[in-house]
Amino acid sequence: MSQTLKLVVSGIDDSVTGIRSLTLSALDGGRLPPFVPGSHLVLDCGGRQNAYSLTSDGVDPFEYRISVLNVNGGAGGSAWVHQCLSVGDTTSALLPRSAFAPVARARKHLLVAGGIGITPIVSHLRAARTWHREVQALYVHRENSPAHVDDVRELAGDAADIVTARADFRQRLGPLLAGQPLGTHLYTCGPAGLIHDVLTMAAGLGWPASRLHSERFGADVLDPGQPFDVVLGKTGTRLTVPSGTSLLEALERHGVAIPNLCRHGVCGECRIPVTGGVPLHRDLYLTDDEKQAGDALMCCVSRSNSPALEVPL
Amino acid sequence: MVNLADTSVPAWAVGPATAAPPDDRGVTYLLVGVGAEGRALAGSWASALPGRSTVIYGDDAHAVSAAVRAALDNASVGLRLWLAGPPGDCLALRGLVLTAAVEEDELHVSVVGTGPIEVLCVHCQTVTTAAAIGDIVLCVGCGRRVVVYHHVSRRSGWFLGYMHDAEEAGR
Repeated sequence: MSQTLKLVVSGIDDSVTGIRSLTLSALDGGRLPPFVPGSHLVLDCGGRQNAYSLTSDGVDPFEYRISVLNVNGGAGGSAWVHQCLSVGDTTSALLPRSAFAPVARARKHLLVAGGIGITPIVSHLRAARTWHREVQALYVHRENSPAHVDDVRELAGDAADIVTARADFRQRLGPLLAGQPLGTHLYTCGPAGLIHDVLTMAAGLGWPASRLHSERFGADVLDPGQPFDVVLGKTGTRLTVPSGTSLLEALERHGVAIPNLCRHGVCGECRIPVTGGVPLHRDLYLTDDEKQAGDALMCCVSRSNSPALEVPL
Repeated sequence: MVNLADTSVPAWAVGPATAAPPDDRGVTYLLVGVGAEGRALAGSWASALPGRSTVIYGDDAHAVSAAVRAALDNASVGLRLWLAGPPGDCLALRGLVLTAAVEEDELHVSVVGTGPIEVLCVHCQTVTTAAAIGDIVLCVGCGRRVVVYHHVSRRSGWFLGYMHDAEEAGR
């Protein structure tokens, strides 16, 4: 079982419209566990668990900083951060985790971000400056929502290209991806559409999968998905998992207890075997080979590509 | 009995050459042919990739390494590197190109032709040539009889060798 951190809100910055940046500290003001660039914190947001990328320095930290976009129509976690939190309030979080770490042997890191997806990139830029790693960044944001623009300018200087028009972004992306020295690794974070466009264009320009890294946290939530049925092998019971309800939630409502932790497809706790049907994997935990095998899934986020899934529960 | 698939020895270094075509989603290709068979195979690859490939030929890994390194220094992401040659040369060149920032999924190796492999003596750190895994060779550095163990370095391409009868009394 992962350790839970008790944290106190020690600072709030609302200077960018729609984005609230929190500084979180240990209750006793002491050291917090360190983290690698690109890590995120699964924060307890008034009963909901949301993952937010850490933007601060992960080496021997005394504070964690995250930036939360107020998502209209979201599940309520970001609204809670924006409306309910004040300096001095306490909350809890799981230890920082990472699925978006730099590659130590990379010759260069190319960082491409859209909107609030800049948050893990900020920690990459911070580490790159500390370790004198070569970086180049392309960042597109809305004119009225310049999240971390000052941080990016300060950390990356001329190596950062910051644009506000989607057309400018697209125009720069092609040449950027086509002209990188061998040994470059690409990191992209932002809205799902942007990540898809960047990865598709990169693949078309011959980038192999090993050089492509993407992170969805902090950018948007997973779509509600299509409804599907799940057949419980032990009893033959057939349940319907509606759009917007996770398989984990559907099983819990039926009285099937599944060990779980992050509920965001990150920790691996809620893995269940699959004996029939085709899983639609949406987690960050299983390897590509495991996803391909199709005999297990993370029921907190993953759904079904077939009308029904069969699980031996 | 150890299954070689569970060791650091790549399948292409011991098994029959796979018929599977290499990943051709690259933009440019660096083709390296070592030995007569390697040269012929790399040449056939090149003719299937008109205008997109550079070919480097040589008699052994040492003969092509400077040219390969220079080509990689100036390469962009989108490159694929295909190697054809005897197993020992391919292992040595794999070490060279991975060190030069090529990723495993950009690299294809077809072992063709025959040639020695190299073994590093753990007792004196000298490299000796050998014919095959499991052979016992006389280390050119210390004269110990070392067994070519089924462990190979990704970085250098050398197999690990150790004195095969070190535990026997009176040796």
